[in-house]
Amino acid sequence: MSQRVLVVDDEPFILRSLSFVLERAGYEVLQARDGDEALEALRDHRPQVCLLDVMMPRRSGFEVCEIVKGDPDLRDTYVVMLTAKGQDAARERGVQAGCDEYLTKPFSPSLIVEKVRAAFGAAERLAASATTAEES
Amino acid sequence: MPSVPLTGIPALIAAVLGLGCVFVVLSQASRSRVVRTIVLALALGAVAAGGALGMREEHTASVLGGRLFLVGVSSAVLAVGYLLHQLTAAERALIGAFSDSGRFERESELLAARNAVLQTQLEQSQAQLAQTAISGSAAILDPSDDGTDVRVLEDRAEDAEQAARRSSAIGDEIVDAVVTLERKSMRVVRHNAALCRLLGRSRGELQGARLVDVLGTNESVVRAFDIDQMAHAGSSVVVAITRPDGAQIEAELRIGTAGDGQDRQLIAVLRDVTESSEQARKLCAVEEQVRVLEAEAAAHQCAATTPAAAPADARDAATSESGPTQSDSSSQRVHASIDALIDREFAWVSETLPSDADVAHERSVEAIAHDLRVPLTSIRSFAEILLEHDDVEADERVEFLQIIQKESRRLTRMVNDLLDVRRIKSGVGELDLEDMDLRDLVRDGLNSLNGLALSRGVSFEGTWDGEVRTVRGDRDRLHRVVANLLSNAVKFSPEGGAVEVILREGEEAGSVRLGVRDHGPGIAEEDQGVVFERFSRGADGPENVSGTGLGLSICREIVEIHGARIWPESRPQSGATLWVEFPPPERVNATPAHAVTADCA
Repeated sequence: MSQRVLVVDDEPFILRSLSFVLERAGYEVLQARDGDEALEALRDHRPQVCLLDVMMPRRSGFEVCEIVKGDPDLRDTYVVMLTAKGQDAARERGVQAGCDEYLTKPFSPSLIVEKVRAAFGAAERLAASATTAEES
Repeated sequence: MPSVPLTGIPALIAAVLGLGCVFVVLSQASRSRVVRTIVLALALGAVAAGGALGMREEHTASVLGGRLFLVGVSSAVLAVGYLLHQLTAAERALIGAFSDSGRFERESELLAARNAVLQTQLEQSQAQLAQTAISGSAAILDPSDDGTDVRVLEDRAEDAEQAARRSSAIGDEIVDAVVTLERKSMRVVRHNAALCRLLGRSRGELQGARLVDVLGTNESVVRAFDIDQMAHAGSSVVVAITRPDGAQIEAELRIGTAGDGQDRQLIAVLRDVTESSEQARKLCAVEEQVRVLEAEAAAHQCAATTPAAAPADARDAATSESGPTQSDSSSQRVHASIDALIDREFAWVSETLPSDADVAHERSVEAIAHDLRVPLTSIRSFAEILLEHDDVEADERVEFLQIIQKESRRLTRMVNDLLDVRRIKSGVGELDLEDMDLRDLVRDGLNSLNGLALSRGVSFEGTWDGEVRTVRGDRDRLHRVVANLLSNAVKFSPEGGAVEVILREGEEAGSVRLGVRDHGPGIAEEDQGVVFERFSRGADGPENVSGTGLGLSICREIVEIHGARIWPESRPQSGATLWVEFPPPERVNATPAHAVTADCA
């Protein structure tokens, strides 16, 4: 099964850098520029992992995450929130929305690759058993 | 009836002439409907009278008719010529220069026409002056011109004269180099004289040449630009150009598009930024960091670090973001220096903001932090990619370095804009007050847009009468307000859209209202309170607008220290108007109201 990652960010350069490192690491990379595009890509292509920016036009990352986690078809997607907002409130909001991981900008691309690698492990475990909680 | 053919021929020629004149008037004097109608009636009248007389059967009457006809048409031609001379240049320039189809000639046309306007103004002022001197009283002065006297008029005449001289100087050295390119081959179709000067090449050399060849730059650099994306976003890149004489220059390149399908053309606007302003030259610490990064990258490659070591180091550095790192691997040093840079930026930001931090200010800090981190993330990511991947293709390498450069510049602009906000806030007591005609500010504001409106194909329409609109304030700061409002409207306009400038009396007698209306996405009701916040940009704003989101925030600061007010008016999807109302001049004094608060208008 091909390992598919969806990268969602309204900043084209951030999309570019993330896609570059993830493709190099051997993943199939999908891109979306806003929340609506993200949901469309999630439904059409079913990526296992989604890197999701919070501050986006039209639909915030939190909203997208809530929709994903509330949708029986999509809720196994491993969601990593990416945002420049490092505040505790935003982090809490992310956890409430049900995200699996939370990273603040500026981040290191190699750290992202590592997180994605770990996420695939977690996603497979999630897929194997819906009741399995995330291991730390 | 032998006389008919004799008079018929001159009658025909004259009729053609008359109709030709009518067409010229129709196509040229597009704004002044009354004048146009009168001229049209005169010309048609002449044709009709001449024609009627010329067709009469009696020989003598026919000759007379032909003569009369010729006299009538000649006077129509004279009238039209006079009107064209008097009106069209000025009118086309100020109002329609951006709206007709000759995109390419607009810049120079605008300049020439502006000159004409100023000349007309000068003449008007001089005439007024003479009249004043004769009557020896102030009675004939414009009543709306509060406190005007002969001296003021003299001054104004001088100003107009100076301005006329200034603008003809600008006409000689037109601001930006403009060139249209055939989309597919990227060959030069047309260009202005400024391009010859910029590139140090003759017209003959440029005509039909490929863009890459005339820029004398590395082909891969040009290919690395996503031309369509640039055209769509109205963004710019800086290209290094080698002139035939070997001189190296840097030019900012913007791309716009014109036409459709097969005939699609690109319009490129180039501006020399080699000798740019002090702000740009003293590149802030960020750009120096980029140079350090490039040097580090080179060193890194020479040191032949094992491929596995770098990612491991990077990981360490990334996970210990908060503190300085101990290792001296180059990758880690870079991370540490970027982190230190971020720390410095934040220290600076918190210092910039007033110490009585209330909730609004905390929000600002949060917003500023967010916006500064976006370019920083790109810079950091691409620096790391270049460090860790030795096998990045040359094209991509150039692309990534371009991104680093571009984002550093964006960061620099943000920092400079923030500094401006602080300067404006702290310099409340230092307003250099003078009375000025708001119409002049609008003209100057239009000037300062340069290639921006052109590259997006945006046109301007003016709605104002002949009244002088006097406002009192600090000229440089008010210019900033008007320029920001105009460029904001251009940025949020759809490509090829129109921006309307409205000048009229405010609610209070003597107050003046300025409106700038775009046909962009508008401002959602919930956003109307925050458009003047720092770095705020509408959610539906055009992608990759090259601004920093600080322009309107700066506008509000300036407007408020002048005791004026600024507010938005918009319905989503139907454009937005930003209004500024200036109080009557006599109410603006050297110590402006200290009502400078963080409240939203």
